[in-house]
Order: sequence, then C-alpha cells, then structure tokens
Amino acid sequence: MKFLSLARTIPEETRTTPEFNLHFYETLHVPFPLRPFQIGRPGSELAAVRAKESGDWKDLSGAEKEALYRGAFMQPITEQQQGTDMWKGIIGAMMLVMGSISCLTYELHTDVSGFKPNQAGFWYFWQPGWAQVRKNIAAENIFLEYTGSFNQRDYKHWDYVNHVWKNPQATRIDGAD
Amino acid sequence: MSLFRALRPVTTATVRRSLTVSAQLNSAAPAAPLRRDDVMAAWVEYFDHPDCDYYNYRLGAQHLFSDDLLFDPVVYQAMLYSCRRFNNFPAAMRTLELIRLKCGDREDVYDWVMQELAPTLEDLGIPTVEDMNLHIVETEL
Repeated sequence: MKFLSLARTIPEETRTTPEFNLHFYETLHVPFPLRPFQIGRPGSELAAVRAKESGDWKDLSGAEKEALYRGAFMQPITEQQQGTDMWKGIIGAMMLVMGSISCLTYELHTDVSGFKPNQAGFWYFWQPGWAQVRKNIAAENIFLEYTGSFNQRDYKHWDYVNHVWKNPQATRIDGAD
Repeated sequence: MSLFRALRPVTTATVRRSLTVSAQLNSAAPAAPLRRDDVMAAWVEYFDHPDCDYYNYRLGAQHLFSDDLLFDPVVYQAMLYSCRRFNNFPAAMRTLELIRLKCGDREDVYDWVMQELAPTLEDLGIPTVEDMNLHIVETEL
C-alpha cells in the first residue's frame, strides 16, 4: 500500500542480508551518515574493496567503485529527492471521513430533526409545525433548574421566574458575582 | 600521571600548519562582516588540516551544504583531497552529488564547477556523477 507509507521501504533482499546495518540513517538533511549502509564484515568482499580503497583510486575498477558507493549509501541523492504517494492516502482518508460525516448529518437532519432539503434554517423554524420544537427547546431551561448534585448551576444569573438568563449580554468573570 | 601516559595511545608527531585565517575567525567574533575570500580561505584551511577525519569532514560539509550558497571550487577541491586523505571514496561521490543538487537547474554553473574541478577529479581518480549514473532514477511502473 504505497500511498500509506511515509518512509521509503527497503527491499527484503537487502534487509535480510547479514551486511545490513540497522543503525544506518540517511536523508537529504543528513547526507553524510556516520555509519555505512553495509557493514563490510571482515572477510567479505566489501571489506576487501575497502582495504583497496586505501591505495590509489585509479586502481579501482568501475564495479569496485559502484560497490563502495552502494556499501556506504542506501540511495543516491536523486533517489532521495523522490516523493511518496502518501498524499493520495491522506486525501482519500479525508474524503472517506467527510463523506461518512455528510451521510450521518443528512440522516440526522432529515429523520431526526425533520428538516427537508432546501427547507431548513431560521425562517422555516417559525412555520406552524415547529412550534412544539421551539417549546421543547425552551423547556430545556426548566430542566436546567433541576437541583441535582451533579448540576453546578449559575443560579445567581438565572431568572427562575421567566426561565431565562438575567442580562445575557453582560460579561461574566470567573470568581466574581 | 604516569599511569595515564601508559594507557594513552601512541600519537605520531604531525606538522601543524599555521592557521592564517580560521584561527582569528574562531578565536573572536569578527568586528566587520566577513569578506568572501576570508570565508573561502577559512574553509580551505578547515579541510586541508591533516587532522581532518570523516567526522570533522561531515561536520563541515553539512554546515556548507545546508547554506544556500555555492562556494568557490577551491573549497570543494580541498574537500575532495580531504576525502582522499582519510580514504573515503563514497564521501567524495556524495560531495559531488550535493554540488549537483546545489546548482539546481543552473546547468551552466554546474558545468563550470565541474570544469574547475576536472584536474582534481583526474588527479584523484574520481568519476563524475554522470559517469557513475547516480543522476538516473529508476521508477516503478
């Protein structure tokens, strides 16, 4: 699933060789890694080529130079500059989430709230059929007056006669009356 | 004191060069903005120092290549000779790749820098990035 991967995947044949260095880390920000990509255990071909590196570099053949480079780095700079397909996964996931939320919202609005398409909003709320809904919303204020132990009410600013807030536009400051 | 001396590894005597520019730059903050030639001379001294190993090299190189600036080819030449001194061929190739990255889409600048570095590459036996095909990316279809 390439569009879900953030990092470059190392092929399995490279990962499972004993020369693979777990502590290798290279990016464009750290182009000179401290450790080589392949260890070059004593007695391996890479160790032999690295011993030859101490001599004149003109004596190295093209294959040996390639082996030295591939033993030290995982990917050349041009390969590191390649991007991933992760943006496809992100946009896809975003569309899935937005689609599911849209479906849920539509079901809630039509079946639960009773809104009809193109007939929801402030002006429709005052049509005849909505009077009971408005009364239910107003009645919730009476429920808020319930003196239960879990209800931490702001009784000082609540008008218990008219079931509304006293002076709702006023600025309330924590700790003050 | 004598016990420590016995445990310390034997160090060979190295001829210390006089650091004409970088000593002053590292000892005190400059009073005026640095001149371009002084910057280049300091970097050349840094990489020409005989004690410069891979660790110092990557420290300096990461500092250099993180800057949005192409240095004079003298600096890159000193870097390549430094790679030769601590026997690290891939570091030299990575340096050339990063020069190519720094040039961006200015092919004429890259050609000029490679032209200036051509005697160095020939002397040390380093191929260019195009010779080793490090500029090609194989994409999966």
